Amino acid sequence: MTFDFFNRRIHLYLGLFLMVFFLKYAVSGFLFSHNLGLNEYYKDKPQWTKRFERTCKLPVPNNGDLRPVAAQILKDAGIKNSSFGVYRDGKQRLNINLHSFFSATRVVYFIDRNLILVEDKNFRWDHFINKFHWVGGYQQDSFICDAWAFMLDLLFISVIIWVLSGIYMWWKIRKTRLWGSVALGGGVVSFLIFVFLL
Amino acid sequence: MKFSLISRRIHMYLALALVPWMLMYAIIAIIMNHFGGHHHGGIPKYEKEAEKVYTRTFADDIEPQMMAEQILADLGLVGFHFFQEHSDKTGITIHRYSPVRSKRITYNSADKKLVIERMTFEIIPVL
Repeated sequence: MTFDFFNRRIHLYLGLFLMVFFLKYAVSGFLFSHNLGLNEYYKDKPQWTKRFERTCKLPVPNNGDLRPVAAQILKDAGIKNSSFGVYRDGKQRLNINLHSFFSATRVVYFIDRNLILVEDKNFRWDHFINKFHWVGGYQQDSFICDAWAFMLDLLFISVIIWVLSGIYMWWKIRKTRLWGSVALGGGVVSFLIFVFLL
Repeated sequence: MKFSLISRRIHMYLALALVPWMLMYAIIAIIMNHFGGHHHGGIPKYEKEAEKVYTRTFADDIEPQMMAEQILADLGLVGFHFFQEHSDKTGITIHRYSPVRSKRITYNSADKKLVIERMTFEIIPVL
């Protein structure tokens, strides 16, 4: 097997394997770029539905990692979710946000009132697209979240491989070098103009 | 010229022209996937650049979007931005995005002042 053949096959099969992920970013990115007016559509609709509230008494550290406290609150409340974020909203309030592609739940711990409030977010298409585009990272203690992040790494590394293998294949077609150079050079120049003038 | 040749050429020339964009997104995405979010110090830091008296008056019922655009126009900073109206209606904070020189402009209507801050260059917030 020659290097040229191997290069072409890598370019092709990586593209086919990751096509769905690539389309995900293309479609959601396109929708972000065009304001669909969904904010206006959802403006007067209720955003949250209360699930329940209950008492809770847990110490919250003023500094340091809030994730263990948040995980305990979720466990005590019987809420199972592999992915959450937590932040302190003022001295007396802890916000825990749980996300999946199709739903979102907010758990608010009112520290001074020893109370937690659990609310579910009503489905919104724009939030779905937003999550679909942005969810990633290895911060969650969950195999499925880490596997998703790994797939994203594979996609992004593959993009770099596509670029390098594609440039190699282009260079091998001698008669396209001139116009290829124009395309590549034009792309670099326009990119730099945007970066510095935007 | 056959369709398959046209298709291959479009594929190739488009890809070559978009190489910088593809590389930019790929590299940024890898960094974000590993170091993104507030866990890794992704909150941008700002340093004060200027404080100005701003005497323009706005109608009470002006849309915050209009106010933000007017302030940016007066500062010569028209472009991509996001704004937050202060919850007590005392002004507006405008985030003017740029790949290399993002700014935050805070307008306080009570003392008619604009505070302009520049985002300090740290790789993750800039991404």
